[in-house]
Amino acid sequence: MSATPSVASAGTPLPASFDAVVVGGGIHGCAAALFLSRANMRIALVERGGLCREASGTNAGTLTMQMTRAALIPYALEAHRMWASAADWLGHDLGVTVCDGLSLAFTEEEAAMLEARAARRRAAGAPIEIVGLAAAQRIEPGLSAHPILASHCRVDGYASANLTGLAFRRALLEAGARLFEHTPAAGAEPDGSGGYLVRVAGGGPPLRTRRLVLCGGAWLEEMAGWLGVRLPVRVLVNQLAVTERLAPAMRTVIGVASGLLSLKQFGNGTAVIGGGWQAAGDRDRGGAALVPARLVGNLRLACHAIPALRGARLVRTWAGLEAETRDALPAVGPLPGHPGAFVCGGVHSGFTSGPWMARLLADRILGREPAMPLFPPDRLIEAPETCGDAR
Amino acid sequence: MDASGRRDRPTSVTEPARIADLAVVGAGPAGVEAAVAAAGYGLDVVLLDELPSAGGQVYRAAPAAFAPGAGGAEAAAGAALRARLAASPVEVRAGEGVWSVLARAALRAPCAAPERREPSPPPDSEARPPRAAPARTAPPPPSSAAAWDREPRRAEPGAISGRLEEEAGFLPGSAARFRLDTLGAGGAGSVFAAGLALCPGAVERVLPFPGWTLPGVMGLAAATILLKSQRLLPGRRVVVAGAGPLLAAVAAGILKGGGAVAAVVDLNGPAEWLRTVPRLAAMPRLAARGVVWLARIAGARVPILFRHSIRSALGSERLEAVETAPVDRAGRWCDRRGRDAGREIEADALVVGHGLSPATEIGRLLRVEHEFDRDRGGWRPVTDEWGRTSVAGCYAAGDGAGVLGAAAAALSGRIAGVAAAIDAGRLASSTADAHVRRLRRDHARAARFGAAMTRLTALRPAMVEAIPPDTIVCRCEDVTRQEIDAAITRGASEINQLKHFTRCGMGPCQGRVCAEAAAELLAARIGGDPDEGRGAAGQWTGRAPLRPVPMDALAGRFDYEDLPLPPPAPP
Amino acid sequence: MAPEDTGTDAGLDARTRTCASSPRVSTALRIGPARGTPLTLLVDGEPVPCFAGETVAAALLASGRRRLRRSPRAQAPRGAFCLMGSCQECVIRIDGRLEPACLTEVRDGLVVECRGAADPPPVRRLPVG
Repeated sequence: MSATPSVASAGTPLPASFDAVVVGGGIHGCAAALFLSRANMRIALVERGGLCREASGTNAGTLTMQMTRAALIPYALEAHRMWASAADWLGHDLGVTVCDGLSLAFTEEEAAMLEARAARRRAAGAPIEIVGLAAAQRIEPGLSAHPILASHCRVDGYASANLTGLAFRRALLEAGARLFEHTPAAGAEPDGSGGYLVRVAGGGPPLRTRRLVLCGGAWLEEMAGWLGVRLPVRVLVNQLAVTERLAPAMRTVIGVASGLLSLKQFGNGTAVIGGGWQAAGDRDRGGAALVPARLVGNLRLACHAIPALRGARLVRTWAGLEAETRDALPAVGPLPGHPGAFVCGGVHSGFTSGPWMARLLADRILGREPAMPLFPPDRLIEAPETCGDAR
Repeated sequence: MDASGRRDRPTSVTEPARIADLAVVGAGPAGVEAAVAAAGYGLDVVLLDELPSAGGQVYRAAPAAFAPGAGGAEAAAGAALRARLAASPVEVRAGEGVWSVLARAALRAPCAAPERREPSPPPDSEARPPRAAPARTAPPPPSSAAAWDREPRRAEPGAISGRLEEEAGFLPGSAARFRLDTLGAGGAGSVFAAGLALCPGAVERVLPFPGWTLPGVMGLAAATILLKSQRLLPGRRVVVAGAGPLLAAVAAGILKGGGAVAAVVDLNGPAEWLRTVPRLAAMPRLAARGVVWLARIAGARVPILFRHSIRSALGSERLEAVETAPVDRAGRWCDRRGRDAGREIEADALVVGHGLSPATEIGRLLRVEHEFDRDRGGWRPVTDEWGRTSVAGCYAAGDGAGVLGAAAAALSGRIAGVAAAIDAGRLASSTADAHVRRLRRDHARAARFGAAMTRLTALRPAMVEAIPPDTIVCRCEDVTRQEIDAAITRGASEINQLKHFTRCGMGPCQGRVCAEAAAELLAARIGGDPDEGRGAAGQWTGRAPLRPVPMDALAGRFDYEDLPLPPPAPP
Repeated sequence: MAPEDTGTDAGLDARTRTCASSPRVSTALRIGPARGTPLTLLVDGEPVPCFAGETVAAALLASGRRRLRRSPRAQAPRGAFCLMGSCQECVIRIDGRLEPACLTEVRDGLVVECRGAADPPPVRRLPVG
């Protein structure tokens, strides 16, 4: 084999105990593991597949305020700064482009929704202004004449989601984290002396660790279950589509008032179309199939906003799983009753906000005061006796 | 395809659908035979193909607008196939490309997912041996979340299967298991069917070499289409290169058409060809056709370079010359260091093919179980002796189920058609064996011949290893070998991860052209047995559309008010 | 257009060149006379004679046009490759739409544009304020 092992060579003996084992190698797990490693903690990251190959690598890459829940705007603004400077703190290219964003309303009803939502987000700190069609068309010359109103946000943009795994992988190895990829965690339990044992599929000794950080995304519920905690997480199966390269058709990130469109053209000319239209799938199968009528609906919405897309060809569609908690707000913080155990997930628009959420949690784990409040999962946890088998 | 027709008839995929017992995708010999056989047992069959007439690539018809020309044995076989189809009750939808296939089962509540082949960990990853456990963790225990899933707050989650099925057009109580969406000159359409026979044929494998992207370099199978269907020479002075029986067929076809063959560059040597002789006896008529080809080539004094391969295609804006050099049995350059053993041949066309691989797009989309079988062209769907795949109601036949050639394809198609009839209850399985006994015997004989031919073209790992660093592997995205190597070094250990890291396979060909070379490069770095390496490297995940489709045709004309918008996302 | 710009055979083969630019149709690559009725394509503004039943890819090849477009990253010349709708190398603008030339039958007066070096050009974006 001609591959040269990276700095954290697999040949180095495993430590008797890790300072933290992070389970789940999506954007939250990778970023948490990275910040903890850089704080000189001995970190293992356990991921059943490759890094960022589920939601973190298959999302639309949007870095927008206009689809972020109002309560998360302050977090998303900080995260946006992190994305924009990823080359500095991450050290590797993620194809981040910062640009204007427009959210559109095509009907009076949508215009009312747009204004209400923009007001809430503006109140939360997002620099969003309501503009008319003419102004919107100046910001986005590719825009159709259909919108009657738009909200404009200067803080928007996108990254190449497919590159997140590569970028974080390199950064993690450089930081000295130990990566266990293609290694499903089979469970975790207290080790009897204040730490945890993480069992991995395929046998072998469990990983011993002082702290356990569960970053399972759509699979977070199962992971919390290892410790007897019921933390319900619902799975959204978001459909996405991408076109062949086409001549420049747009230069902003486009959304709609209802949040059902996310649209941007990447620098290579391809346009990615999403917006949370639901495909078939679940935790076991991932995104299993797209419903044709929903795909067409999503494409129509995109063409309604940017007519030049009609001249493109659709090349690929897929669906990725997004985790959602009962109140659609994140679960980021210590797991109550389990000292040293933490969760980080369920973040709506988690791609946008993920790195900042992970940084806050890492600060908490490192004993520093997080710059913003966490989202303790306590409120989401169901008592074991009340849930039973609801089916 | 008729572009203006499409424009005049704005369409959408919501148009009325056709409901059938069996949908057959691909109207080559396997598809036609499967369709005709199933229809013979009373099944209502729809046969779809993107080409304007049945026959597949092997029996591709000359355009209807052409005056009848002198046809050879293949033309006659194709005409006979089309005549049998025309005489059958099969509904033929020629010129309709299938862009999406949806399995009703995929819309239903969770079921056990087939185990994923586990990729090898990258070198700096610490996956722990032994890794015999399934790649996916066990399904979560029943929880309250499952019930909560049934109470949608926003866009309906996928778990609400009944509503999804209806929305996808599957009527309650209908036997339809599959929905196919098509696009053709007449616009968009849908077919619903209880059974689905996949007869998509094969994709030609051309392994990359410097200059293979130059205009004037074409596939060997491409040349057969030019010759047979378009009655066109690929060039005035053509180098014919690669492996297998197509070499002789194409060289002979060019000579017959009045063109010049500068050289035939054959990866195999006389020894490999001689080894096929015992198998040739299985199909004497096909063997005889080969003799005619060889006689024509010999008569024209075309140089035949046995055990040679293409070192590079030369030219700036188009092909001007071809550099060849000798290889050993494994496809390795004999003179690995120097380039002086090469020979330059002037040519305006190079037609080159290194074998065929089953077209597995639809099977992958449906998550049919596949296995890697180098001697059958690569990844193929796992089937039983009837052609049933791992997905209920889905059959695979012909080269798309493992490359064995047209004769075997026709017979395997017929067997799959009988299987569809059994499964539809039109034929008792107790009596079915009698119906297929002779088919099976004939198929075994044709398969012996086909297997010998396919083995001549089995992918030689050494040829992939020999791809120079700056040679493009992924034509769509201009991804070079060294970029792929770098991504593997950086941890890509499975082909979809490689795609993420490099964009290899992300372009408009959807990975059809580069898959074999990219996967082989990955397999070589995984180490160990090349076939096991290919197994670990895996296949591209199946994605719709099956071919790039115009957004305009999909979106059609619509009123915004009629858009079925889901409920808004949370504020 | 200069031959090195169009990637055609024109500079190499006088016979094709003469035929392609005259009403008389080149038969250099076409086998036999058993073809459809003569038609004319408009390729990048130039009339190209061809026959009913031919695909656009075949008609372009017969006219000596081998380079159909340039690759997106390396801007390298590309031509028809698989001729069965799989590889997408021959996707060009036909009657205003991107279509695989190998699957599209010619029609009289069909307007064909081979994609040039700058199509699609790099996407430009406004500086962000």
